[in-house]
Amino acid sequence: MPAVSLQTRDLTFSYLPGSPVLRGINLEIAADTFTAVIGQNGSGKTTLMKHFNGLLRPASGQVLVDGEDISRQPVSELARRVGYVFQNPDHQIFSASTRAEVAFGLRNLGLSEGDVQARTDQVLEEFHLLPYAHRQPATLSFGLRRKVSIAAVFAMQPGLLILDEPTSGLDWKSTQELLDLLHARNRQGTTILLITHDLRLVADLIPRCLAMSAGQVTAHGATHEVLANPATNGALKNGLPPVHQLAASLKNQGFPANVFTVDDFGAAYRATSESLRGDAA
Amino acid sequence: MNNLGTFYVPRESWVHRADPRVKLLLVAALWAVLLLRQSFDITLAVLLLLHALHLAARLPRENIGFIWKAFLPMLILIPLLWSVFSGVGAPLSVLGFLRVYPQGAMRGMLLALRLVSMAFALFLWLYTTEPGVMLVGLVKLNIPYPWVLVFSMALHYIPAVQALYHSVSEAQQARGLRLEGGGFQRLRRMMPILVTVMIGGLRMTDQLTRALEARAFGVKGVRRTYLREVRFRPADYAYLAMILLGTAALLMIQVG
Amino acid sequence: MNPILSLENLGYAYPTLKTDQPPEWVLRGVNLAVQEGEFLSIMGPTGVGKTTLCLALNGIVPQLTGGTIRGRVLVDGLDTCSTPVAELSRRVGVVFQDPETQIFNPSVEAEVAFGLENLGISRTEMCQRIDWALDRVSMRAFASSSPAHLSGGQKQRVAIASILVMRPRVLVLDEPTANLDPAGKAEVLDAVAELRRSGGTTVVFVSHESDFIAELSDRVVVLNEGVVALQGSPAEVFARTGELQTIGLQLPQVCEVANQLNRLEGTHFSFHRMDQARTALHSALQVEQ
Repeated sequence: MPAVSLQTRDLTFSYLPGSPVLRGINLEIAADTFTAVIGQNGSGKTTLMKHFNGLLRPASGQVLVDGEDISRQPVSELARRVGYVFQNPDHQIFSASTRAEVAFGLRNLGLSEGDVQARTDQVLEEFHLLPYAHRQPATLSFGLRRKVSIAAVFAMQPGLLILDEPTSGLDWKSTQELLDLLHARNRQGTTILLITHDLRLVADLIPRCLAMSAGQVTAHGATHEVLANPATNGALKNGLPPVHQLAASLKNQGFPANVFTVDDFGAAYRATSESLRGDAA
Repeated sequence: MNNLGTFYVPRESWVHRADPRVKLLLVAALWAVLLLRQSFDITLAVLLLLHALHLAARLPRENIGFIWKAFLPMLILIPLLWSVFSGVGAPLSVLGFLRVYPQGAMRGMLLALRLVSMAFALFLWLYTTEPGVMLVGLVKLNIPYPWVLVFSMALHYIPAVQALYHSVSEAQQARGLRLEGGGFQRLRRMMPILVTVMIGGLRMTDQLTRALEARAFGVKGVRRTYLREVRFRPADYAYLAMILLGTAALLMIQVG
Repeated sequence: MNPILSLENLGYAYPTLKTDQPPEWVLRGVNLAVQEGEFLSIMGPTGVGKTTLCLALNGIVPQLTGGTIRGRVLVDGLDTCSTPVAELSRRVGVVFQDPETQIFNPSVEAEVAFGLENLGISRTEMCQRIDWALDRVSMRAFASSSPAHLSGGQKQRVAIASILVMRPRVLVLDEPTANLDPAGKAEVLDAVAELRRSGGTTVVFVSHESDFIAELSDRVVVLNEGVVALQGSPAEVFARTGELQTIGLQLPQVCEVANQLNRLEGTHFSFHRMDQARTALHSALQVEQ
């Protein structure tokens, strides 16, 4: 499935009448992009994402996938192009074996049995899940269940992959492994939207960023620019990586404000110490 | 109706302040009267009394409306069914072949009103009694604490399981699960959802057990105490007397 | 001094579903002593057995989980295999990861009272302790609120208060910030930092939050493959960069900064806390001027 592009036009939505959760959102997500979706709880991130696979329908406005309005397409049809990995893997795991769990989505898509087995094998290999292929996934450890739930959606090869906090509860190594898999998919031709609270992860590993606050998009673009944007910065102060705070405390020494990664900090340190040496000379 | 499955509506009123056991007795007494007296006048009197108590408890009018709305289908359907199928009293021939029993319809209406009144009585108790106080009241009536705990936890976990069902349904649909069709076919299609919810339910039970144990639930050699106090005050004795006398009167009064 | 908690060569395997399956050992010989009053942090890769270890501290493992246990765990001298869980819970209070599954009472007050009711504490003392516990986590204003109206961070703080109120000798926090957004995380970590500052409780803190762990712990224990792989002060443990990377754990970001600067700029920094980093970098840049 080739990478998918998304558009929303004046998208508005409320769960309860009178309190809009999404306020007239106009958004363009180009195909092949890998974008982190950030914002405080209640900013509307998940609500917006659920419009892209039809789980929620706009109160007003449009949602376009690859230029097509999707308001008439049922969720099960959209699942062909839009894969959605929910935050809690236990909300989807039910099969007698890991293999069957992965095959479930593929069978729903109506693939031939041969294709189902081929894709299942491929994805189990990719995620190092072959040793657990015959185990009941509900009995595996949390980290493995997480992997199974992601693998099951990967196997469906959607053009757009939406993941809701896929790294919460995972250690650093597993987080990096997952991001490697996502980058590989992205390069092969999949648009990726990743909701997360881990700004250290976003700053280090995700190229683009979409920031939301109170039902609106406050910034959208390259990660560094979005994090440097004062609107975003203010809302997410609590979550910015420690290097940012450290750089801010060295402001009087001439340290720049927009430091979000260790590399940024290293470069800033070099620049600052050189300029100080230069001044002294 | 409310978050967490509780119906309690906090207000300052003498009804709220009354002992929960007294209010429970009121429910039982009114139910007895409604079931034992097959009379329109008595039933309407009880219904009127319950409305008066709702207003005295300063409960919002919407709560009253909610119960009537919930019972509307029953209020229409039951008399209708009784009018056609009851065979009570003298029939009127309508439309040639269809026989309508007007007295049957009246009986049906009485039955429906009785059910609404019983609901009003129960809801009065639920609306005006704080869950914590309700719990202690039941314990003081010598109902074993574990049973009471199960009852109050059920109230908490029903919405939790509902929320789980909703999330699981979304997650499985997002993997291409189709839910159309009806009857048996639809049930088969829902299996991925139902199995996942069941596993989730088992997990919840497991985690709840651990949470209870971690808070010393069931520790031996200790008499359990309660944060909320439930004690009879002078007013409660008065209410008790009024309920007993009133019930006796309603049971014995001759109505034409 | 005798440790309040003592894990002696602890091994544990969960019960297998099929009788012919050999037991899978999650813990394979953990030796650990927790001294009264210390703030001990436990780190380790996902699935290594951190939660299992927490459950072993109050007897839930093995009494409620079944399975096979080797070695022993002593809580204030009591064996966790033979002392009832409810009894052990008076000494070791465990706060689980997910506040949703621990909170089931209709009000915050009732939730915090639950443990005290089970212990048969008198009403007057209950009210005092509830106020005290809610104060320690800054949730006193929410005493009559319904938990359904609370945010994740608030719920987790209520969960902590409802264990704290029982005045256990040891408070065990199993990944308390796992499912929280940054605001909720900050609330909970502030509350834990406050507990640390006011002293008195022994805390076992299980988490991935290496930045926080570096700032506040007396001692850090790293679990890997079912045993204690590293142990020591935060300075000692976070200096072992290579080993931590192999195990798959994230260093506190200020440590990564120190390592990077040392590698690329030829500096000799060795800080693991924010205040140390600030001071060291300040003076280093001062020297340049």
